[in-house]
Amino acid sequence: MQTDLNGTSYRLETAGSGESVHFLYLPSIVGETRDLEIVGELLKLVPDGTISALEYPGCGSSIASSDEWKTVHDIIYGIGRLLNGMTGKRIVLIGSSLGGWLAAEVAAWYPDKVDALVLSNAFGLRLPKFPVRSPFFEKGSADLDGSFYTCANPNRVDLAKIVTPSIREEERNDAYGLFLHLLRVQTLAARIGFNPLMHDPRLEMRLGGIRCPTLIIWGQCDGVLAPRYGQAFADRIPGAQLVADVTSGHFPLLEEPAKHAPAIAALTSTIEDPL
Amino acid sequence: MQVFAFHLMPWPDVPANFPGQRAVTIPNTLVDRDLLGTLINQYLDQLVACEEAGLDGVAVNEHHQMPWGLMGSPNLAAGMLAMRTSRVKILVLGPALPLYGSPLRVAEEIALVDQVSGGRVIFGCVIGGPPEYHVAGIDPSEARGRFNEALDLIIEAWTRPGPFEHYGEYYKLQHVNPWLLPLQQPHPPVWVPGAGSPETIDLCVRKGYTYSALPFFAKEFSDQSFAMFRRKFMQANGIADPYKVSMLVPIYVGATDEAARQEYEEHFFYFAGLHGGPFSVPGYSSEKGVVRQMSARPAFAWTARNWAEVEENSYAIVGSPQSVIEKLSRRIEDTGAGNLMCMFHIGNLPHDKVMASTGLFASEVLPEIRARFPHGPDWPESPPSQAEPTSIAGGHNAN
Repeated sequence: MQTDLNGTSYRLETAGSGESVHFLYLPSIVGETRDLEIVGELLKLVPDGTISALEYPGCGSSIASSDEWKTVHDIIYGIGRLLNGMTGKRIVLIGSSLGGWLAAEVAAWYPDKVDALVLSNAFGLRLPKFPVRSPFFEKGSADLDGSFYTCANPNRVDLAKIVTPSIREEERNDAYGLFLHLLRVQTLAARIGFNPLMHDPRLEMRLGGIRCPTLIIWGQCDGVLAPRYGQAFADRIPGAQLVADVTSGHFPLLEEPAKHAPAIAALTSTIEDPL
Repeated sequence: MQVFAFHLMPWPDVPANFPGQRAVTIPNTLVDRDLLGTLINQYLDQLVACEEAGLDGVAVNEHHQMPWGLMGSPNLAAGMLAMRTSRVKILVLGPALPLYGSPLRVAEEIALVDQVSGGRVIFGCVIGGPPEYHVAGIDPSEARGRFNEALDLIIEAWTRPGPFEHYGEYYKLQHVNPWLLPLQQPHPPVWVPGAGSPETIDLCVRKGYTYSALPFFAKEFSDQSFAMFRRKFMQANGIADPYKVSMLVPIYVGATDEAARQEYEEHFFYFAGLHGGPFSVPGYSSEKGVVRQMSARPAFAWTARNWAEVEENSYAIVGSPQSVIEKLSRRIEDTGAGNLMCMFHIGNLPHDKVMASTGLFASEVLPEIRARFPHGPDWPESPPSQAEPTSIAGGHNAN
């Protein structure tokens, strides 16, 4: 599905057609948008809902140019406009990793547009005593190696397999298809998060303005963001609930979708009906 | 041929099995501050000696936070060379433009060196290597855009009467009006190094800059880059000009082939061991450029496993004077480069060996190379009846 807003074409990978809830999924730093188990699990639990995963401009099969999003403000504005156009009585923003940072920003800037928020191993904050492991250093650019895990994670998934359906169709069988797909998402992440590293120094002070029910799911075996970051988000967002997933790494929603879908679905029932 | 001496100015004493990255985070506690000044002065001596040896120019470059290259300020180094020489061209190759706060700073510093040297500067400028972006904290996806805008602004600052406003995507300056202007008019010649990216080649062809192909790639990859430039240059201009191309190669001349290899080999592999990341900077290269470079892996100088691979890929040209003449002549013919940059020092090669090799090169190799290529090499793309090339490195009509 393609949505044209103000001259920008945003591509959404959408499943379901219900109007009671519309979930907008903001992908992680590996740019996953298609054939996601979490989508299937959520639709089982919320059959009258719709779930859309956003293709970031310049990434995946997006038509929009990567130039559309040059600053974090461009992104907040763009996603804010998308939310305006979404159907459904209730809007739930789900963000993982990079997407989690963006979701937190949007919820802080547009509290009236977001009815519920789910953050999973989200970038966006900085805790000086817990340095973020740079996704741009070493060989992190496009290698899906162990950098996202700190322990022998029994739930460690085949990220390449999960991401492959999201690669542009014409590149999916190319030798460098996966590499280019990841490079595009990484480039977007670098645009807003190369320096200062993967955070917005001004986000922390704004999180208190988020008013919607918030669920924070945090993989404790994350090699990039320490568990303390999950607590940091929970401490700063009023009423936020923290779920510590002791066996997941950086991508709990990809690693344990069936485990986390019920909590996300339950969150929707806490949203106040609009008058 | 125009012949230059180029110096990386590396740190000579990194333990062989030192763990971790070789750039950015390799701890600076490895540097002996008491030796650093002596070392840099020695490197400058090696370059200055090339003037008396009869070379046409000397060259310095920029790196940060790595033992591979200590010179964090090529403009300063160029100033030092300007004070210590009187004839040679001074090639600054060069300030990494995106890493400087304002391009005008570069414009003024280069102009300063050009003035005090009597108009001997060649302005080389670079985008900066990936590790430099980690050091400077600049968004790598802006690298090329910043570079292009900064370079255009510098040329404009040198040539357009001020004051004027510059309002660009990356630099917004209300008052551009430098009083420190270069002696050479309209401006010093411009060289731009490239690692085979089509964008850099196109820039050089479009603007008439000299393309300075970076070394250390395997011969096959390098030759493709040179061929790409020659082809595009011919398409745009209709004639060949070897002085629009530069090649850089480590060179060591010994009394015999065996002696040369024996004296040089360990230092080459020390140098190769200094190379090592971080090279992950998404957005730094275009997708086309990065796929092209990936397809060339693992063929780089630092992946050479033995001396045979060094020779086979021309990562260095080493041997007796006659051997060096022959090998160098073949590379000059293969690349079409009318500018040769010789890297006489490598890794931890001792000073006395550098000087001995430079001396042998100057007395035995240089005259023969000049005799064989009085107007630079022919290009395979050009018709045999073409007149002599019109631009010479350092001449005002070079750009």
